[in-house]
Amino acid sequence: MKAPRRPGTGADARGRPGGDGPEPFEAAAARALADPTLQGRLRDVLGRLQRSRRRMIPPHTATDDVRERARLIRAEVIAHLDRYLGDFVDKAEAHGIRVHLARTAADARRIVLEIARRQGVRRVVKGKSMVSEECEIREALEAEGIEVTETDLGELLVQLARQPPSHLIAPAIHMTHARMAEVLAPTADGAALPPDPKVLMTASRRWLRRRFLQADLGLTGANFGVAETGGFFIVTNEGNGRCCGTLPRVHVAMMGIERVLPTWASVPTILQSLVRSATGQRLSVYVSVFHGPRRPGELHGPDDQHLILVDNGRSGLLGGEFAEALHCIRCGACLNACPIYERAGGHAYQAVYGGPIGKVVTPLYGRSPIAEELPHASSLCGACREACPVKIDIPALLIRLRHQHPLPGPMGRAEPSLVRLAGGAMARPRLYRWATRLARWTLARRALAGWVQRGPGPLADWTRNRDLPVPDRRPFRDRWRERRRGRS
Amino acid sequence: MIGLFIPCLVDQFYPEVGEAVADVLERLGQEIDYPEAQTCCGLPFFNMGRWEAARPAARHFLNVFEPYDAVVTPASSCAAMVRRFYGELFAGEPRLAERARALAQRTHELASFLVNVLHISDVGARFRGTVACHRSCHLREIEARDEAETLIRRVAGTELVEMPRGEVCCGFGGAFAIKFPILSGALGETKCETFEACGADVIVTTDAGCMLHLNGLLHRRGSPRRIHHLAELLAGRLEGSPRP
Amino acid sequence: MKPELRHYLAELRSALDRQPGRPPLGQQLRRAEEIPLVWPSVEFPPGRSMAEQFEAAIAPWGGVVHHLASAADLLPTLARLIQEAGARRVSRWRTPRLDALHLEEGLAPLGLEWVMPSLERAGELDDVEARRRFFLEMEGIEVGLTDCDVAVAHTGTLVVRHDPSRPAFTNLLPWTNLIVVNASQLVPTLADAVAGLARDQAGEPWPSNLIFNTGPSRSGDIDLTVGQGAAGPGSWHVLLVRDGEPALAPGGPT
Repeated sequence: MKAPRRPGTGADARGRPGGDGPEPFEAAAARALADPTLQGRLRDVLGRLQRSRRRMIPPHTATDDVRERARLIRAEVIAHLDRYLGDFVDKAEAHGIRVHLARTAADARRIVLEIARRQGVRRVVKGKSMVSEECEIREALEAEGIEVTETDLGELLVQLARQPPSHLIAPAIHMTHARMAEVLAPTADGAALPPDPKVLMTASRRWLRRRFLQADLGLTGANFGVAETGGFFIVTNEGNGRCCGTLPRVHVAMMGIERVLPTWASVPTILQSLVRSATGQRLSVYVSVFHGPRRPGELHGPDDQHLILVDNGRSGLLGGEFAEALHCIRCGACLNACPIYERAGGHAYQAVYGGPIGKVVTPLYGRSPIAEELPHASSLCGACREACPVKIDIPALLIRLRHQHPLPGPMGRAEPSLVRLAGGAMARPRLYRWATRLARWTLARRALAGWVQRGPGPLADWTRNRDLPVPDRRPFRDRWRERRRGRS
Repeated sequence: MIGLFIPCLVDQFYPEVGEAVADVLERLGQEIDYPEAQTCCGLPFFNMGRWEAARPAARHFLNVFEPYDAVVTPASSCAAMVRRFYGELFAGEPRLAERARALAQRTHELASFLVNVLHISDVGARFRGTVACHRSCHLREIEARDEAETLIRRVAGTELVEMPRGEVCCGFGGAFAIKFPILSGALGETKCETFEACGADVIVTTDAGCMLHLNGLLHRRGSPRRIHHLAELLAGRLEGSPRP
Repeated sequence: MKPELRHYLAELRSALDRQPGRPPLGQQLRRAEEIPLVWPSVEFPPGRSMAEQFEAAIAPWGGVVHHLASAADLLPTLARLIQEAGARRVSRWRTPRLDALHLEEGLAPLGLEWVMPSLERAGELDDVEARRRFFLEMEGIEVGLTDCDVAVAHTGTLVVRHDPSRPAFTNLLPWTNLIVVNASQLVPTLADAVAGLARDQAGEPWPSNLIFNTGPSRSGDIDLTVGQGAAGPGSWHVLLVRDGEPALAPGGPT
């Protein structure tokens, strides 16, 4: 049941429609590469996160077993998703949570807007939620004249600055305190703010608090739902998820259908694997667990709590060769570990989901004008697989995807036949030898002092920034023969 | 009898590495042979997702190398292909899969063979100077991360220098190097800077792809430094200190 | 469950049934449970008490732990912390543990204004404008005094169930959160805490709002520095009364 492929839409950094228009992955990455400030920041932040993760989960140690436990738990749920999702929904509804199914992004938008209209919502506060980005919920609300405030501090800053986020985990990573002061000034009633971290934090807090208390609806993601009791939880360090789900009178949480855990006993394993891998903490500051709207006599909590289960192509992977992609717990550890992500930053992927797992899910059920390219944009180094708290074999999935999604362009189209020829040659030693001799001759003609600086055909891309040595006149096979002759 | 698998890149671009492998194994009293009919393990096609092209190469590999007690190769990437990926390649053909499984168990990357099969970490090599090791990515696939460094430490006269971010990808990635040359180059440039910064006299690695890519970058930027193969260090084929 | 959802689940079921070699329900979960979880001893050194462990876990993340020999030390410590915060308007939970401290009397010399909305005011939350005014009023609270159900030594985490006598705004809105914890409430690991929670809840509906709280609200890297207090308390103190501390069981499989 493969999800139908969507045509390119011309998208911005988050794969949203509009923006500057699509460009090839390398062209986009090249711009990030040319920005030394961004490169420095990415290296610093990601380097720190990588070191933290290694400290928290030293590879090949007993602590690494937490990843194997986590892998098995996720594999269990995905293999029997109908069962666990069914239990979850029953129990959630028993706690008073209104559960909705959104098969597509359009369904999700419709459901959110219906809730908003019915409740007379004018103002929304929003926690970070990849699935809400995927479904373009914010845009849909704003199109209805509803004000949406991002409450994750980094997201708030880029929202106020009217910039796209530069990185998934640290969206305002490129910002300095000076810039932050500029961006926050309008929220402080126009007064100029000093670039002092404490003052800026106070200003942010004040602004956020005003928005939280004015909002009619809190929109969040949900990291996981627990089938055993029907509750769901949100993991943050700032507490903004908690605020969104506790202060406004309506709480709408959005969750991918695959984000279920079987039991509360399985939660510590997943939580600890997730947080250790993603941010190098033992646990995040807040794990906010919700089991329905407020009870009689409670002085907090929404009157109405909704959970929207989002499919949007996910179910198409069940039972197939890419089902492992659904094990993902969206921790970002693979992004932290990827040497390509470290250079390219978030924009280059032109999709909601970037980085290693993004290169897998975007062609499968995501949207990006460069979706076909993404599985190829990897050196298959395996750092992501080592970092993944649930041990998803991302390189293996990428290789399978490459089979289904040839690289666009003439090279990509010609590749299957060329490669088949080459593969056939590999089974015929004489042909292989002859081909290598031809290659050596071709390269030697273009060489200067044993090095080629302008390669022929596809090798021109090699020699853009590297030299290529001419193959040795005495390959190993000849040397071996001499070696043997010398013996006898 | 050991069958030497000398992959395409070594055969064509770094034949001296193949000779170094032969030297090391013979010095340790191993009986080696080089079946001339060998071609390619199929990894480049496998990574491209073109498995129908990888299979003929892999079948040929099985035919050529099955007669041997062990297969040793100086390429961690090829070792990974045989040990880990042949099973997947032949998933639909049980007889071939069984043959592949049997051969995989006795196919080894050089450092792993020395340390884990022969249980030798001192091969009698000497070298005066400091050595750092770039960890090829495919070492992850064959779970042989430390063997190269184990061997380097036992080279008389040598000091192993820590390479910061030594396990980060050099950017070669096979076809990736030509499909995404800018990114490939950027990763490689960072590696080259690390090499200069770590202050080692010699840098060695266990994959010819890394060598081709990094040496190509170094030559283009006018640096006299070259990356060598672990086998060359162990065979005593490195002359003194190649640093300027 | 709506018929639409039931129908959807049936679709998922047929897709999953098509998968060859699928492990039976529960098998992988059981295999997961069989793998022992051993945290490195550097995180949980033998010989360290759980109280010390709790502090070591939370201190790097901005949480401050005050070790008190007995409950008698609570009043003077609370007084000091409230004064250090320069606070006048405080609120507390009406739990037996906090009621027993007679805080209003004991802290009278500080001239504090106790903001303690009666439970009847819950009705205000039904109306849009009244709800807003209510929370704006609570926004004036500078120090929230709360307690917890269970404290996790390994991670520095407090498990807190909210209910009418333990409103969430008390540890969410004020800048300063002072939490009274007894060492007898400490358990070694998160898994222990969750197991205990599940046992306590057995069969009953779970609280509408429950948190695992590990320190003050923390914001990552703006300009590569860490800030506290963006959407929760910026100042977080645990007053840990060290009588009745349970026997140490460090590390331990989870």
